[in-house]
Amino acid sequence: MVDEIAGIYACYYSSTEGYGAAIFLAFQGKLTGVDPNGVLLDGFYGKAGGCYRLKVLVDAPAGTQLVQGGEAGPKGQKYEVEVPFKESLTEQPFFEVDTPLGPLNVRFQKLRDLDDGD
Amino acid sequence: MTETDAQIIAAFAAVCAAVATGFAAWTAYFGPIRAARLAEDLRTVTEVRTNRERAKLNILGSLMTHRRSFWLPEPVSAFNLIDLVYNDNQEVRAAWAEMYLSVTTKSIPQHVQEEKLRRLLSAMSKDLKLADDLRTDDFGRIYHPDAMFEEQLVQAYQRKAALEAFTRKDTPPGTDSSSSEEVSDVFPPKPKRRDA
Repeated sequence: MVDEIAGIYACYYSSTEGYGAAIFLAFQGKLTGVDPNGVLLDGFYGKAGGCYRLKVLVDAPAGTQLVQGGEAGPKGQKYEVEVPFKESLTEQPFFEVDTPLGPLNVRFQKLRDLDDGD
Repeated sequence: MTETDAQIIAAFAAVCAAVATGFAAWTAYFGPIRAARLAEDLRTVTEVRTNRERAKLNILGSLMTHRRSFWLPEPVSAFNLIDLVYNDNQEVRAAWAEMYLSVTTKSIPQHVQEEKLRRLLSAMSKDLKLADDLRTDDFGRIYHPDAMFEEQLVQAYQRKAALEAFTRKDTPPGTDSSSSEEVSDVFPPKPKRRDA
């Protein structure tokens, strides 16, 4: 089965306080990535009920500057985000994502497709 | 008069003398203290009045000096002290309230703001008994040489350029700061703030 979502992505996100970007790999239902501040992205994606759902655990190390503003505490900061989409992560200009620390607008850019046989 | 009567009278006189002596001693002790306290009170009242007059004069002097440059720190401080220092003069405080309203309301023309300012200066001058005979038009006579105006213009442009430079630092690279609200080439627009 062709995994249309698989690929290497860049995501650009904006909060009310600033901007950020990250790189991640989506492959075989799993997602792994990191941003320049060392914030880890770990999650999975899958299709259910006719649409996809991307679920990511965001793990910011202690003292990291958060894009929503402020710093991750002495024990770091972890939270989950969900991004539902119909066919691809690039189907709309950006997704509105609600996080416990504030809203984010996230834009995905597919850098390389992993299913093209190259 | 018997000898007993004489003794009683003598005793009474002695008691009166003792009371008078005690009163004299009390007066001699407490009199200077009370006089000193009274003098101190009078001095304090005079000093407070003098300080208040001096503060009022400083405020008036600052505003008169900077009638063409109200955005400077010195006249701004002077404006913010009017209600405190002139709290005993309702005319001044009313004039200040009118002027404050005129400069904080966008639709008020500049000549109206200047008129409010002249009325405020006139009220402050009358309070200090400095200019009972001056008219409000007299407060509009300002010596402001071209060199000073050009200096202020340069400072205004420098301030504007610095502000634009700081604003530009807050936008992501590759984004036009003048269109920070539009979708940039790379970053999505900022989300709306949540209500508190």
